[in-house]
Amino acid sequence: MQFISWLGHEIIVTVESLGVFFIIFFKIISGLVSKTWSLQDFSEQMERIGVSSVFMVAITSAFTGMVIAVQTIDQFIKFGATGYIGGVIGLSITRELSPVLTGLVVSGRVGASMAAEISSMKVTEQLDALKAFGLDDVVFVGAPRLLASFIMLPALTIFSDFIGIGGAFLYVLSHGVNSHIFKKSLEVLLDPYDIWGGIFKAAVFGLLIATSACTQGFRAGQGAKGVGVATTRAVVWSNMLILATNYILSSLLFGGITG
Amino acid sequence: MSTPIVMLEEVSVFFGEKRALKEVNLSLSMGEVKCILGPSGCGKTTTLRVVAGLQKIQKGRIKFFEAQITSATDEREITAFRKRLGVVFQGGALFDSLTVGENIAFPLKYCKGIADRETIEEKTKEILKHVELGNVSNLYPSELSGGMRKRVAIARALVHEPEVLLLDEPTTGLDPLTARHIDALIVNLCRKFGVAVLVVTHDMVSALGIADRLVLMENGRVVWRGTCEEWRETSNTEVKRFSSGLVSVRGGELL
Repeated sequence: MQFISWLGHEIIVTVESLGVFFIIFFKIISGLVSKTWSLQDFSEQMERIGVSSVFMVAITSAFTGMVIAVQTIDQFIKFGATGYIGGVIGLSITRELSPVLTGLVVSGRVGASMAAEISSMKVTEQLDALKAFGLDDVVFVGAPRLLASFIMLPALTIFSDFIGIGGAFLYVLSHGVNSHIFKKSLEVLLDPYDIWGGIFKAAVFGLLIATSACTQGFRAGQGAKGVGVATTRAVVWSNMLILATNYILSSLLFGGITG
Repeated sequence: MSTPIVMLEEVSVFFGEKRALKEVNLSLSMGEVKCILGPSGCGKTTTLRVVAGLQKIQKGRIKFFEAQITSATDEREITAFRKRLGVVFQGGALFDSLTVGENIAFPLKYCKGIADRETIEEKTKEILKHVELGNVSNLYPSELSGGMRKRVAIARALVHEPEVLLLDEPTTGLDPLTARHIDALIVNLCRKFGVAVLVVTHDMVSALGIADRLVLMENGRVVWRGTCEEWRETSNTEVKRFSSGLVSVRGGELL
């Protein structure tokens, strides 16, 4: 009985949170055109999301690219299919690994700090101060973060594509595979659609990260505990949404393509 | 006193089951300084938040200048009136990520729509002089003392020339000397700018020093109202209990 009660409570909380998520998302989107948000804040967020994440994205992508090469190179050589190595690695990175890993890295690094910042603003009445000046706090705080996230995630993903493929290329090269074969395989198997698909997914993940952070930040409880809970929830929510949305988008974008 | 510019009529606010305000009536006239006194949790801050349009009411109505705000009033309608207010929050609520200068410029940009940098700088300097602060424009709020933060918060609330100034516990957490400086500052600035002022406090010395009229609240109700002279002379039980602290402590027990 207790389990059913707990389950019911969790379902209600999840559905409610999803409802608030969409309300905040559409409120920010409709407020983007109003211009009642700060361009200065927008540029700061671009720097915070983009430039500050470059190092972590580079490390993650380079090692992921190399690991894929480690896992696949022997099999390709065994089956005499070295001509496919570059293409297969390129496809994995551009379609899936770059957007998803970039999303998860940014979610953990930036999403958490966004949620912590907004919930602290709530606790210290800074959000009330914005309202007192006749501003919509959700739009004023959310719009620069949403827009910056929407722009920077694809940019970081493009960067991650290069670093990931570059890492794999170096590993493959060090194992005696001809660089020309790797490049040719990339040219043949990798379509611009694959790259654009990955970039599109990253843009969606950017929206999910910023909206999750805003949702949990604005709903934060009082005190230090409230800030901590909001931060954790923001990361959990955005990571789960990224993974679930990735499945849906991959099915829609790449599900029907056989090559 | 002139006609009231803010009027609360039979206003009630509920927090879930709990009734935070019970049919509160309150008015504020131009140029008047009114203090709401009362123990913690009596509904003082909720009343101030209602006037600021930050707290929705469930019953009653608020007359704000020519407009009427009820429980059914749209948020956007209330937003328009907020620009005519200046609010000083208990902790100052200064924006951490902005410098003092940027904090003060904030309402000029977003309430007044002033974009000219020179005008903003000029007005910022002028208001900082009024609150007796010198070269602090480039400092961040975290680099200021408690008293300085309050002054900056007052400067930010007044810089866009509001008609009503709302202050939540302006002297809380300050030493007595700084608290009296803030009191003097509030009185002088209100005279200079001609604004109506509503102060929420439990600091009786402060209230008796600055107010034209006092309101005492208890358990979400207004239990007494009058002038400072009337406060000193009244035999009202609630006023006596609050002002003399009739409850005393002996051996850790409340008597």
